[in-house]
Amino acid sequence: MVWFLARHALRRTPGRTGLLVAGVAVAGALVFDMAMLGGGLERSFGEVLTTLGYELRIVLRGTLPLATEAVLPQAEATAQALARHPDVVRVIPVLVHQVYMETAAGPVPVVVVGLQGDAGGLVRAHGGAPAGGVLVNPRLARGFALRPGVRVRLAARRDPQTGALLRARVVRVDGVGEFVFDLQGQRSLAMPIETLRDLLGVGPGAASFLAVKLRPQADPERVARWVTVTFPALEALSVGQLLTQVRRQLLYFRHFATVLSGVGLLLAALLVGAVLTVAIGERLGELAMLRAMGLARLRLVQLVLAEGFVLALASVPLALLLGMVVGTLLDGILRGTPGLPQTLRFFVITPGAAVRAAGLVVLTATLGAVYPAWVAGRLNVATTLHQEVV
Amino acid sequence: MRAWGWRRDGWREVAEHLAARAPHEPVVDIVRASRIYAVDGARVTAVCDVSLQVRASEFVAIVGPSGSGKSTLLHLMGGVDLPSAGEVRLFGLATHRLSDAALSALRLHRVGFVFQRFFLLPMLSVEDNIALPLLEAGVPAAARRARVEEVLAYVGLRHRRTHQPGQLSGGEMQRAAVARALANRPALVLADEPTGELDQRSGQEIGLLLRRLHEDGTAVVVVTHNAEIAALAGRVLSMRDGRVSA
Repeated sequence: MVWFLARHALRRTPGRTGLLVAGVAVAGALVFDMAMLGGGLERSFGEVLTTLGYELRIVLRGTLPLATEAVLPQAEATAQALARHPDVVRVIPVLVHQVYMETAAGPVPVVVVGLQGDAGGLVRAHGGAPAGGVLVNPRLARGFALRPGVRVRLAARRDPQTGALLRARVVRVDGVGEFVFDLQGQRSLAMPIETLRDLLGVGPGAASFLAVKLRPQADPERVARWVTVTFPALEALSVGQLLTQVRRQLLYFRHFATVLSGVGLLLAALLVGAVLTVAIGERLGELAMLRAMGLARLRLVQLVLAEGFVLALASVPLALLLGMVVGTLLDGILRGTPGLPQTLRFFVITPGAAVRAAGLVVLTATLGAVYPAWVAGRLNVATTLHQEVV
Repeated sequence: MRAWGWRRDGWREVAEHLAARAPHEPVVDIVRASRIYAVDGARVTAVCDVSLQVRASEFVAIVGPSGSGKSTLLHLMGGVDLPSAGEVRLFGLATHRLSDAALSALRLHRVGFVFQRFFLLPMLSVEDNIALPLLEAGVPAAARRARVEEVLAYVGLRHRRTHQPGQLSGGEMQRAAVARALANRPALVLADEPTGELDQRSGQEIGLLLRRLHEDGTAVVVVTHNAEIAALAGRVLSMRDGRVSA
């Protein structure tokens, strides 16, 4: 009977029920968005890192791939040594550096990625593979009308006094490509790693990091430990380790999400508690009748808790829908922030986040019904019946 | 403070006793019961040293001026209030000794209440309102439907079964409330001013319905100001200042 009455209670005052459901849904949407934000960034990073299928990144100890201009001086020799490990399938040296490109408006900084062979999926050419020239990213191509066949002048450095380009050379644009690790708003180009080494004047075997692909059954952590022991100056970062570092750096986001989720849940609980308390006050006569009819105190408590539960449950679909819409909008805004990987997403919609948010909202809103349930349970039947008549 | 209990535990607590109870025993046995309230620090005696019995199938009317303690006495009889002194035995069970769950279960299965204000739930149809005690008692759906049909026919409301309370007249609402009180086949029906909000004709209909109940074997106790209703009863108790006189 409790569930029967709780369900029908939604129809008692449709306007008030609608407003309450909407209010809890807004709070629930906030909780859902925060659940997406809390895990979304990490999940998105994980997706970016695993896209290429390289389980390890070998860097100079204490540095992170793509976050430093420090280079491994003997990268080629290290790559050959690594390739001899039975679990290693492939090792790709990658050299990343900032250079200057000469334009009509003056030199502009661009990020250049030096790659070996087919680029290992780090850069995906739109048309055919480059033939010794460079691939540019769409932003660079659009910004400076760079089409295949156009020649550009690149320089490793720029004199701080005169602005003159130093260690410059002319390269040919072979095409446009997508750069997996591009940051938002970044101008990038890719060229053979030997050409880049020559341009930068670094040693013939230099690389920023080595991307290592392992056999499917291999344990990345075990190989990483072997690398650390064999090459003490280097550090092997597995996807798991990188994610741990990312997690550490995203702690701020998690705290932010937790606090806002807490505020949302508190709002939902207060909303349900306030509205149900008012509703109970209006229905004292009915509740006294139910007690006189034969409902025990505990059943009345259950009835009010069930009303809170049903209200919260009714709010969940709207909360999830609203959360998805708001999350998508916010994601669009945040992804436009310069300096972030363009494939990174802040709000990732996952079934886990939806279930977690729905569960929390239902639980908290039901807890919000505890006070009105206590009020209903404490009802003095005889006094209430007397007052109702008077 | 009474323990808050679960309904099935409550029914278990009283069912065995009820099964062993002799049929001639009074359904209500009040022994020197008083009910004293504390109002703003002052003691107000609503019921004072009352002793009476209501037997099975008896029709008793309680009359008296407002504030004489009629409703309080009715509440004591139904176990929705407990005596401050003395004892109220409902179907042989002292109400103050029962847990809340047991007393609630006893009311659910053996007592039907009819109120002046009807207290029909506005969002439910007439048949759903009537089915509430059956739902609470865990009666299976088919038996529930059959019983609702039966009591609807008894009170003459079959044509109104799907209507909401707001679509009924006062008399029809009170008949629906009587039907709800009868749903679990109570042995005792307690009616508190059942005609208080009805016109004369509707009041007469409710009075006749209560008498029919009594004739069909249900004990009926009605608190009323209505002389016509009181005249239908087999015994009239008069109350003044919390005391009863026959």
